[in-house]
Amino acid sequence: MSGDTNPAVAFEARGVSRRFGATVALDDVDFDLRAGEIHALVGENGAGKTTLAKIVAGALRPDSGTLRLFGEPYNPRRRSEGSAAGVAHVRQQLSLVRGLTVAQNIELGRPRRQVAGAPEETAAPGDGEDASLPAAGRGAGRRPWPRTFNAKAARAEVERLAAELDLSVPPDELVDGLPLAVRQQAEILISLAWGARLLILDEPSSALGPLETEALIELCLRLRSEGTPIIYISHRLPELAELADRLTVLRQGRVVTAGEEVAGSDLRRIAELMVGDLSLLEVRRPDLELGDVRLEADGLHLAAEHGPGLRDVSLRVRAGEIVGVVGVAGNGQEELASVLTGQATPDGGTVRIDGTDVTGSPGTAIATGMALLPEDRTAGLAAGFTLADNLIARRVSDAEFARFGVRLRASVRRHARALAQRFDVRPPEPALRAASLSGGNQQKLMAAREMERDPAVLVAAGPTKGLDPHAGRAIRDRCFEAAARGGAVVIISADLDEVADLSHRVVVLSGGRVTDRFGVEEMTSARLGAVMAGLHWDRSGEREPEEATGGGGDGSSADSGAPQDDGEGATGRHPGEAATRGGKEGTS
Amino acid sequence: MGKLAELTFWTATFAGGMRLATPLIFASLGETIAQRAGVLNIGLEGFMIIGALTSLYVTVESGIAVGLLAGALAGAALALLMVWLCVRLNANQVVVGFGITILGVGLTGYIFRLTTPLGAERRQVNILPEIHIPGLSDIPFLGEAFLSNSWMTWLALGLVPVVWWVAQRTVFGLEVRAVGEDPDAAFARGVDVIRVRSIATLISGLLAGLGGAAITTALVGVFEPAITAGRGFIALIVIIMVRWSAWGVAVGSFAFGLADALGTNLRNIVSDSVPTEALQMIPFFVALIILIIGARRARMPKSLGFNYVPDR
Amino acid sequence: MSVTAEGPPGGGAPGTSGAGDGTRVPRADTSFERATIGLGTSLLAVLVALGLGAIILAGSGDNPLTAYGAILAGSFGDSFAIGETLARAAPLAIVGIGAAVALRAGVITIGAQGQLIAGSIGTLVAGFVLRDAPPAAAIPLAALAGAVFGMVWVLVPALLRARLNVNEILSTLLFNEFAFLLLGYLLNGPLKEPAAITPKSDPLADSVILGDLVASTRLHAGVLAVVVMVALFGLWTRSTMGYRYDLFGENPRLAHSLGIPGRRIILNSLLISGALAGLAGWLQAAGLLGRLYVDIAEEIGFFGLVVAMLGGARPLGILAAALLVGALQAGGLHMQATEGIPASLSDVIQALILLGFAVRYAPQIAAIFRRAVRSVGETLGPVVRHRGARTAGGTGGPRGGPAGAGGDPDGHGES
Repeated sequence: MSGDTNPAVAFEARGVSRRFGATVALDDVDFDLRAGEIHALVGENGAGKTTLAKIVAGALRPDSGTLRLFGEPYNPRRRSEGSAAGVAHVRQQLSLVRGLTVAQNIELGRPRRQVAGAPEETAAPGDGEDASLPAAGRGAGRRPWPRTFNAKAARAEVERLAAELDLSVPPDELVDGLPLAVRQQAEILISLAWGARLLILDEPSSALGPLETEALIELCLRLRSEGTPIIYISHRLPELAELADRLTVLRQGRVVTAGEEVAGSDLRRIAELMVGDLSLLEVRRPDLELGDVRLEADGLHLAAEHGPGLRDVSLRVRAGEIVGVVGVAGNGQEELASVLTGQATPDGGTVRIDGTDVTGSPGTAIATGMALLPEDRTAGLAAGFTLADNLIARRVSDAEFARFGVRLRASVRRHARALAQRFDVRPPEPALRAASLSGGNQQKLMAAREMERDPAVLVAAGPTKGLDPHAGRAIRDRCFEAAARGGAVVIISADLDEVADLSHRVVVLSGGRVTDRFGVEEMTSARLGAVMAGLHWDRSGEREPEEATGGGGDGSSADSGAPQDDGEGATGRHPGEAATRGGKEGTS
Repeated sequence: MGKLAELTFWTATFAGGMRLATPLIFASLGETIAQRAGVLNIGLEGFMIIGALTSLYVTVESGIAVGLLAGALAGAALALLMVWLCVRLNANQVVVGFGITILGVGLTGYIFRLTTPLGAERRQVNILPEIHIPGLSDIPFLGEAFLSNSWMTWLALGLVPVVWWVAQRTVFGLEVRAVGEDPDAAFARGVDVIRVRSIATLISGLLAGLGGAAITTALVGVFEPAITAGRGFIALIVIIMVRWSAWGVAVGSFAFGLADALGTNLRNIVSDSVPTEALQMIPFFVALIILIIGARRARMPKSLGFNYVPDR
Repeated sequence: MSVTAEGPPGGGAPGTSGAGDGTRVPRADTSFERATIGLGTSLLAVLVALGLGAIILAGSGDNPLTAYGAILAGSFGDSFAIGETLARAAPLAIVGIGAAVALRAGVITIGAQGQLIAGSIGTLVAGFVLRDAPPAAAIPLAALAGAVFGMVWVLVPALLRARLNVNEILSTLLFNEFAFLLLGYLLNGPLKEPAAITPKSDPLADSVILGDLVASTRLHAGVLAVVVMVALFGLWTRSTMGYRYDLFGENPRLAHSLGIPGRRIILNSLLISGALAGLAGWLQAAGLLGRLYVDIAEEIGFFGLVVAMLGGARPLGILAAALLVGALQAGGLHMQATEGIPASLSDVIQALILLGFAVRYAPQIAAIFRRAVRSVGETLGPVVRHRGARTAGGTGGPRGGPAGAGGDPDGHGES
C-alpha cells in the first residue's frame, strides 16, 4: 500500500484483518519490522499475536491487507513458501520431528529454492536457483527424485552452524531426547541453515528456566548484531525490556500501541494497555489459616524410564494451605501429581489423605475427597461425552443419579445445568459435547466436576496455563476457594508466576528431589534460578508444558516464565501485577 | 518319522519356505512403508486378493509381465480408494481397512463366479519355474534350499534393499518417517503430509497387489475365493515382529513361509498319526507366538492409525 | 474472545490428528443434531452403495433392476423370504451387540467367527449331555453352553490383551483359524456322521432344537433371543456399569484417575463379546441348521462387526443394520439362485455401505473408535505410557510420557 520500499524495513503489514468464523482475530492491523531490530509483539492470550505471526510466516492468509517483505510484495500461500522467502517461525510447540535426529530434521522439508540474499554461509557458490541449495541438499538436489539424504553433510552443517552461533546442538541425537532449550536452539539453527532472513519467536521463553532464558536472550542479541531482524512474541515485559528495541501491543485483535521504543517506555502503562483491566491480574490469595494436616506424603520414590522419577519426596499440606511445587518441566512434577492422586504406585513411600492411605489407589483417593486438575486437559475430560455425562463422572453410582444400576437421565441433566452454571461453564448446556467448549470452559468444566464438593485435597497441575485472563482468574479463585474452605491445595507448575500468584509456600522440585522449601515471600528469582538450574536434569526434553496441552491450539500461550532480577523483589512478572499485588499486600 | 532326519525333506521344506514367503515379503514391505507413514492398513488382504485375481486373469490373456503389472495396479487401485477415504476424507483407518478387505474378497468372488459358472473350467496358468543359477544352485543343500527360486522370489528379495535404501537414505524416506512420527511437526517443517501419506499408501497397494500376484502366478496357478488365506493379516504380524524394518520383513516372512511349508510337508509324513488340521495350525501357532513376543518390544510409529487433518 | 478462535485445547475431531495451529471453531454437536444427520446420511450411504453396485452389475452385463428386484424378492418378497432375512439378521445382531460392547470400551475384536464356531460346538456338546432332558431345561442350558464356549474361546486373546498387551485384532483372527481347523478336525473325525459325504455332524439332540416360529419358513424361535439381547444392550448403554465401560473407551486416563480398572474392562468386554458370539453359534446350530457343518459360521463373525460399526454401536442402530445386512445376504442368495448373479455382490454392496459410513461419519466413528485405534497403536507398540499424550486434537497417538508413573496403558499402574 505505502509506496515506499524502504530497504530499512524488513517486513511491513498494512491493514491486515483475519477472522475465524464470527471471531475477529485481527482487525486492521499495521505492523512494521525494521532491518536489524528486535521487535516485541505483546498482548494477552488471545490478543492475536500468534495469528499475526502465522500470517507473517505464511501459515495463514489474511482476509484483507497487504504484506511486504524486504520491500517486495509478499503473499505466501503456505508456511513452506514463507520459509522459502526467508521467514522462519519458531513456534511455541517446536516443530522439529521428534523421532528424527537434528541432522535429519535439517533436511526435512528444506526449501528447494532459497531466494537470493540468503545468508552467505548457507548459499552454495555459483548462481542460479539450483546452486543456492545448501550444502547437504546439493549433492542430490540437482536430481529431482529421489533426493538422497547425505547424513555426513547434514551433520557437518549442524556442527558448523552450532560453532558459529556458539551453541551446543548435538547433530545425531534424537530430538525426543533433547532438553527443550536445546531443541529450541536447534530449531533456530535450522531456520538459519534454511536461509532465514527474518525470525519470529513465539513465546520462546515460556517454558525455560531463568538461565536458559538468559542464554536465549544472548542468542537473540547475537543474531540481531549479525543483522537478522526478530519478531519476539511475549507477554512478559521485563524480559522484553532487556532485549527488544521496539514493541507493538495488541489487544483483542487491534494494535493499541505501534512500534514504540522500548527504552524509556513505562512498562506499567504497557501492561495496562495489554490487559485493558488490571484488576484481572489482581490476586486475592486468602490469608493463611493453617488447620490440620490433610495431605501427607512420605518418602516417595518412583523409578522412571525417562526422567528422574521421584527420589525421597515428602510433602505435608495442612487445611487452608496452598503449596506450590515448582521446577523446570520434566523434573518429576508429573510423576508427583500421579503419585499424590493415587494414579501411580510409588516404588516406596506412602500418601495419606486425612490419615487414610491412598497410595496407588485412585478410587480410595477420590472417596476420601481428592480432586485433581491435570495439566493435560485431555486427561481430565471425556471430550466425546456431553457436559452432563462429564459432570457425573465421579458420582455416577450415587443414589441421586442411578436406580438399580440404571442412570436417571433427567436428574443427571438437571445436576449438570446447575453445576455448570455455578462454575460459569459457558454455555451451560448439558447436551453439548465437552469437545466443543473452549479451553477455558473445559478447564472450568473439569473444576466443576472435581470441586463440586469441597475437596479435602486439591492437586492442580498448571491450572491456569493457556487460559485467557478471565478464565485464568476464575480458576485461580476456585483454587483459593478450595483452600479457604479447608482444603489442602497443591499447585504443581513449571510456571513461576503461577506458583508465585497462588501459593503460600513453595517447594522446589529438581531432578526428582525436593531441593528447597520456602515461603512465597522469600521466592526470589536468584534463589530459584540457582536451585532449579543447579540440579537441572538435562533429559527433560519430552515434557515441556506446551506439549501437554499443545495440539488444541497454539494461540493459547502459556502464561509462564522465569523471573529475571528486575529489581522488584520477586513475585510478579507483569509489572502491573506486581504493583497491584504490592498494593494489596500493603493494605492487608 | 525317519524322514525327518533326511536332508531332502529339509531342502524341500526350506525351498517351500522361500516360495511361500514371497507373497508375504511383497505385502509386508509395502505395508511397512505405509505404516511408517502412519497409515494402518488392515485392508492388506483386500489389496492382495484383488491383485491375485487380476494378475491371473490378465496373465492368461496377455502373459506374465502384463499380468504382474495389472496385479500391482489393481492393488494400487484399491489403495487409491483407501487414500481417498482415509488420507483425504479422513475416514477411520480401521473401518476402511476392514471394509476394503470385504470389498476385495467380495469383488473377486463376484468376478470369479461370474467368469467361472458351476462346472466350468477355472482359468489356469503355469506357475513360474525355478531358475537354475549355474554354480549357485548347485551348491549342496544351500543351492537347492535357498538359491533355486522363481524370479518372483528373487524380485521380492531384490526389493528388500531397495525399500531399505529408500527408507534410510532418501529424503522421501525421512519424510515418510516424519509424517508417521509427528505429522504436525512435519507439516510445520514444510512436508506435504497428505502427499507423502498418499504415496506411501499407494506403494503399499502396488506391492500388496504384487504379493497377491505372487500367490496365483508363482504358488498356485489358479484363483479361488479367499485364496489369500489370511496372508494379509499375517503380513501385519510380520511387521510388528520385525519392527518396521525392511531386512526384518525378509526374515520374518521366511519364518512364516517355513512354518507353512513345514506344516504341508509334514502332512505327507505323519498324516496317519497326526490330524492334518493340527499340522495346518502350525503357521498360525507360530504367528501367535511371534505376536506375543513382538508385543513386548515393538516401537511403532507414533501416529500410526491416526489421520492427519491439516489446519488449512 | 478470540481465544476460542485460536483453538480450544482438546477441541476438534477426536481421533484425528489435529492441527497444531488449530484454527477450528468449536461446533455445537448435540445428540439431536447427530440423530437427524444420522438417518439422512445412512440412507444416502445405502443409496450410493446400491448405485455403485448397479454400475458393477451393468458392467458385467446384468440388468441392475432385475438383480435388485431379485434381492428384494429374496429378502422381503414373501413369508419365507422374510423368515430368511430375520434368521440371518438374528446372529448378526447378536454378534454385533457383543462387538459393540467391546467397541464402546475401546476394544476391537474380529474373533467372533471363531467364538461362534466354539459356541456351536458347545451347543452340540450340551445336546449330547442333555439328550434326555426336557426341552424347557435343555434349551436354556444349551444356550448357556454356547455362550460359555464362546467366552472360553476368547479367553486367551483377552488375557493376552489385558496382561501382555498383545493386539487383539490379530490374535483373535488367529483364533478364528484355530477354531475353523478344530471344527474341521471334529467333523472329519470324532463327530463325523458316518454316512455323510461332506463333513457334518450328527443331528443335534431333539431336546435342544429350537422349534420354528412360522410354519414353512426357517424362522426359528431363537430369534426371540435377539429381542432380549437388544433390550439388555439398551439397558447396558444406560447403566452405570455401561457408563464406566464407555468412559474407559472414551478416555482411559480419566477412567484410571477415577479408579475404574482398565484391565478388567478390557478383559470383560472381550469376554462379553465372546459370549454373545457363542450365543450366535447356538442360534446357528440349534435354531437354523440342527447340526454342525464346516461352514456353520459362514461370515457372520465378520459381518457382525460390520453391523456393529454400521449401527454406531447403539442398540437400535444395530438392529436396523442387522436387518439390512441380513436382507442383503438372503436376497443375494436368492438372486444367485434365480438370476445366476453371484451372491458376492451383496458383500460388495455391504462393503461399499461400510466405506460410505466410514467417510460420512468420520468424526462420530472416530469418537467411537478413538480409544480403539489408540489401543491398536498400543498393542502394535510397546507398553507405551501415554500420559504425555497429545490433546484430543493432537495426533492422539501415545507419546512417550514420563514413565514409572503407572506403566501400562490400560490401567496405569493398577496392580
